[in-house]
Amino acid sequence: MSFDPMKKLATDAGNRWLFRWIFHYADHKPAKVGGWHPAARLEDMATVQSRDALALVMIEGKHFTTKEQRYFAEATGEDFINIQHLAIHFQSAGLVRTHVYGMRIIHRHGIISCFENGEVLRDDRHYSELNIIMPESTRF
Amino acid sequence: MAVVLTISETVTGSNVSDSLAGGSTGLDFGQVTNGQFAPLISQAANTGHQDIFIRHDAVVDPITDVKFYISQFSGVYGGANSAATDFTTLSNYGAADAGANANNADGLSRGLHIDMDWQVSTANQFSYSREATGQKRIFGKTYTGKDGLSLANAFDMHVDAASYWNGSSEIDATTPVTGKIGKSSDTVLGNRGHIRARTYLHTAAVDGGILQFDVVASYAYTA
Repeated sequence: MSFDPMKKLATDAGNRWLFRWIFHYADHKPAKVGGWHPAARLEDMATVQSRDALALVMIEGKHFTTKEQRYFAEATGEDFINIQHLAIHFQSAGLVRTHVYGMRIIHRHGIISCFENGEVLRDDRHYSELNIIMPESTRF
Repeated sequence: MAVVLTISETVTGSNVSDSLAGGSTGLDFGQVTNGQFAPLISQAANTGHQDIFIRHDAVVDPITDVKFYISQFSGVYGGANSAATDFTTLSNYGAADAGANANNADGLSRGLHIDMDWQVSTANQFSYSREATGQKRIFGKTYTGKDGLSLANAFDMHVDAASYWNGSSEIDATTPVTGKIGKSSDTVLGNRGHIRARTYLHTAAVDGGILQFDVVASYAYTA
């Protein structure tokens, strides 16, 4: 991975992708879709959505400037563990800043990370090898 | 929900807010003299360090993958050269660090050092023997491919940095995990990352003036 959000913020801040999660269900329930920014309310978080008959979990991206939308990553529902935002914290010009630079799917066979520059990184090691233990909110 | 960190100088404090040259706010390590370190109380006794506490406001899960790296200063620059030059200088200091003494008695230590054990003893803090355990890290120095100079090469928060603030005192987390900080009530993972930091300058350093840089904390949280 060559991507560094600090360098991107300094040189190319507008040329980036925003991400949201999508849950597709096998029992014809309507898909659940997250927002382009981290949810403000608990009930809008991916982690509290139903996992019954969850067929497919996807990460969709929207380009901040061109508004192009495309799918970046997917995992089957039965292998799905969690979705996380990737963030950095720093202080700049007197402001404490939190910047979300990506989103990732954690599933039983690894992690797929999507970065705001459009890069996608697959790590196919088992999540236990990656020091990712089950989040408290995970339900099966 | 968005999860925000608080990085403070005290266990329950607000975000660091020292006034920096140029007008930004951040953490001021103070002045360091050649052959010494800062903050300094007694070089002979190896005392003096900057405490840094990391906590967060997540309500669903712990945060994971907590890592640290340095980057070019992103505030209003007020140092002696330029933000880019300072980053190069600090990186080079770390890469060239040849010290062997925690208190810089040999005058060969340089750069930004962190000790990620919240309850390390005064005698052992910043000891070079702690590099092998991953507790001590110097930004710019390479440890199995990681030099702390980018997101990809960031240093993991060591398991010994995890502590729990119970409202009146700081105690050890019962079963901490590398790179994880629990929610406010989490006695198992702990609800704080607590690290110590120092800036070192070697005896032969020739450039004076203010050095400015960013320390970036990266992390992941449940969506």
